[in-house]
Amino acid sequence: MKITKTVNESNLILELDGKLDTRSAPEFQMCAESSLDGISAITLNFAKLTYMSSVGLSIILTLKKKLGPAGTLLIINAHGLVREVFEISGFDDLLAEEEGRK
Amino acid sequence: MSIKNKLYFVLEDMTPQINSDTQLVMNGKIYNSEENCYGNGWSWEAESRVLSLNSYHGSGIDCVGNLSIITSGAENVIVGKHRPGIRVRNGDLTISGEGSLILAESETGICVDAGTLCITSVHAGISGVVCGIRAHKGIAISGSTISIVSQDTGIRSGPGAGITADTSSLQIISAGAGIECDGDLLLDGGTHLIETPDGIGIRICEGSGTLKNCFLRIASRKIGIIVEKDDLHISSVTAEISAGTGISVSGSLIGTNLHLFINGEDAGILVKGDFCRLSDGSCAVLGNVALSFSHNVAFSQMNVTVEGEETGIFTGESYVLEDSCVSVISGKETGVRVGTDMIFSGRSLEIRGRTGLVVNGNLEVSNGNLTSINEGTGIDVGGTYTQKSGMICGTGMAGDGIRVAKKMTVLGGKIDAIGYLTGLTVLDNLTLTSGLLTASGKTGLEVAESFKDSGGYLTVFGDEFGLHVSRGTACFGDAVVDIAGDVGLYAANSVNISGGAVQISGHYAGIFSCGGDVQIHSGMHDISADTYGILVTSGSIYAKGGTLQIRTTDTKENSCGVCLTNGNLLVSGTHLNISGGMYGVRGEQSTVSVMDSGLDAEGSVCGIAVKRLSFTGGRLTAYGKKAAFCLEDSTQICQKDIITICGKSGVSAEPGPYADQKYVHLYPKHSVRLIIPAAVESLENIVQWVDAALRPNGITEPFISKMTLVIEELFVNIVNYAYPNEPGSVIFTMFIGPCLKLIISDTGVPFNPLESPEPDLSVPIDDRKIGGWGIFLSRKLTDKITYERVNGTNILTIYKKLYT
Repeated sequence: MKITKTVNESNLILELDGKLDTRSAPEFQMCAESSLDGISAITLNFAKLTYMSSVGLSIILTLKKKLGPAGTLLIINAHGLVREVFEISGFDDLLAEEEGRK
Repeated sequence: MSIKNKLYFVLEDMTPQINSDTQLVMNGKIYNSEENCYGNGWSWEAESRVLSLNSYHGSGIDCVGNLSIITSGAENVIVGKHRPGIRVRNGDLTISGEGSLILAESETGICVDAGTLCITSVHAGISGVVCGIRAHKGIAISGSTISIVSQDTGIRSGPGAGITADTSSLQIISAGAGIECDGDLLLDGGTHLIETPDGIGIRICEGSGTLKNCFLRIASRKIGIIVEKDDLHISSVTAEISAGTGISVSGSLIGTNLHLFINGEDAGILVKGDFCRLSDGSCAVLGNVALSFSHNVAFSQMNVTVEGEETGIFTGESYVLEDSCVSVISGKETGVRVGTDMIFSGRSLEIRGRTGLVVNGNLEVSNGNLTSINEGTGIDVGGTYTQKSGMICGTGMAGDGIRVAKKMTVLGGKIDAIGYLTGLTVLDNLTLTSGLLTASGKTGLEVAESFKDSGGYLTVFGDEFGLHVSRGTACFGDAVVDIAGDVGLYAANSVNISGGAVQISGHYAGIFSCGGDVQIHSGMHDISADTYGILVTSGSIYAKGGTLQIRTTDTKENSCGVCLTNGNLLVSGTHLNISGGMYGVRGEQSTVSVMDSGLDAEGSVCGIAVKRLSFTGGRLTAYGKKAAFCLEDSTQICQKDIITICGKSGVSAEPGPYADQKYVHLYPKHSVRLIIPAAVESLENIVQWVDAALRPNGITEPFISKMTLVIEELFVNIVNYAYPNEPGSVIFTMFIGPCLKLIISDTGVPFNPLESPEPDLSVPIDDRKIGGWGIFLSRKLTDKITYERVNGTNILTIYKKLYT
């Protein structure tokens, strides 16, 4: 999996490319958690993410908790199986409204 | 001595007594021929021996030695009064001149006792005579018009002497023969009319006859033209002959560019010689036997119409018909009867008779239309039949359409055989490699030995049997076949179908095989019947390729798609669809084997009612209101590797009792297995294994990703909890069927992941637990997951239907 990290003031943008599974999860978790200083909002761009197991949900919940009640976490461009996992797990609130999906 | 000759004898006695070579009789007086002399209307020049007639009216002329007569004046009348009109003894006679010559009331009109007669450019009328013209050493007539009314013979030549008529016109009315020639006869040019109410038109006793460039009309009581020992050549002739026998030739008859109209009471043309060859012309013949040839006959570019009271055309040996149109109507006997072989290469032969065409030898057809519509048999071939092209139609209103005693080979063209008994009967092998064959009758097509259709179009209909193959095999390869009958295809030996499209329908049975196997290799085939689709009494049915559909519709007790007595039904590498009235497949002693192929069998009572069923891959669906299967021995299908679906719910079940199920669906238990260390590092191998197992079976995304996700979750769970102290392994077993079944087992500490609490989706995200999502997702993405602990092993079984 390839991760592209962009910090825009207090906004952290992470772009994931590939598969997020048990083996690639620690890299993502470390990358995200190490960049949280001064961050109040996280945007996860999953446009190039083709696979995600439950470990992805756990990391996202962890990040959300670390941001605290004031922080925001937004998932954009989730599709296919990844989107289905979010939906059946009740993570709809974190999914950004996208074009073509009203 | 005949009466005729006696009469001559008496008349000879009455002629003036010439006893010197130097005598000339004119008008009853004797003159010295060595001196010039003259009389009323005549003058004689002794040196040149020329007798000039100028309006001569008198009695007969008699001379010893050569005589040349030159006629002039309006007309010269010679009244022989029981003696010859002109007689030359010991010499030749030539007659020429512009004046016409009338010879009347004579014994013979012109008589040359020992020499030749030459008539050039003369108009002669001879009447009231016994014999018109007679010359011992031959007669040559050129540019003359001669009419003869005689009591016996018109023109006659002496022993071995010929007659030539060149650009002349002969008109002969005689009681005996019109022309009687003892040597060769040549008629070249002119118009010749011969009437012999009681005799023969032209009789050639010794030599040959040549008729050319002339118009000929002959009306005779007995024979029009007879050549008693030699050949007759006819070219560029139009002839109308009405006689007892039109033309009779002992030798050969060669005719070209001829138009013959022959009305023969007994025979039209009779040729006894080696051959008769007629080309480029037309011929219309009537006769009891219209055309009769003792040996070989060839027609080329001829238009021939034949009407025979008994037989139309008879040939003792071969008959070659090329580029000709022949129409034959015959009454009591045969239209065309050929002694040996017949070669037909066009354009048309049309026959109507009691029996149409009889060929004792072989028949070879390479082009053209041959139509034979008859009361008895249409076409009867005693030898082989070979057809390369052309259209053949044989109709037998009381017999067979076409009957062939030896091998029949059809390489192209079209055959229509319609018979009251059998459309087409072949008493040997029938091979159809191309072309179109249509046959109908009580039995449509009967083949005594083997039948092979390797690319032809076959359409057969029979009231009793469609195609009846009595002894040999029936092979269909890349053929388009449509067969219908009470029994569509009856085969005493094996039936082999590979490629093409075979459609067979029957009342009693589609295919009735009573002495061999039925093999289907490829192609698309359809067999339907009221009672039995395929009835096999001793062999087996092998469906090895292609698709085959078998249907029966009867509601009688025994109606079934496939009925076997001793043999088996083996289905491999094909899709076989059987829908039977009462049973799909039935055979008390039989085994149905399905190997890597498809079989659908249904019936009102039972889908498959046999002794044994063997299923080793593929797909099998059976349906019956009483039961899908009625098996005497059901052990064969209670194998572990089969997934069985009972009922229409599509829920899979473990192999078990399904004897009373109405609907049974069998799939092979296609399983794969993986043993791998219980470590996160194994994950990549597991993902590859899942992909490799599912994708070749036609299973695609997103099914594979979901299954991969479930496997990851459950495997990671095992990695985390099963082996806390020592390394261990995990075994994956996957069964691929309509419902995928995955078993994950480990020998670690007892742990049931299904007991872990489910996440509460009603609480806000921030309050949710971080873990526990793996089992939740696994349940959501599959149909069913079970856990059991058996003999120290944790067993997780996951079910997920391939299609929802």
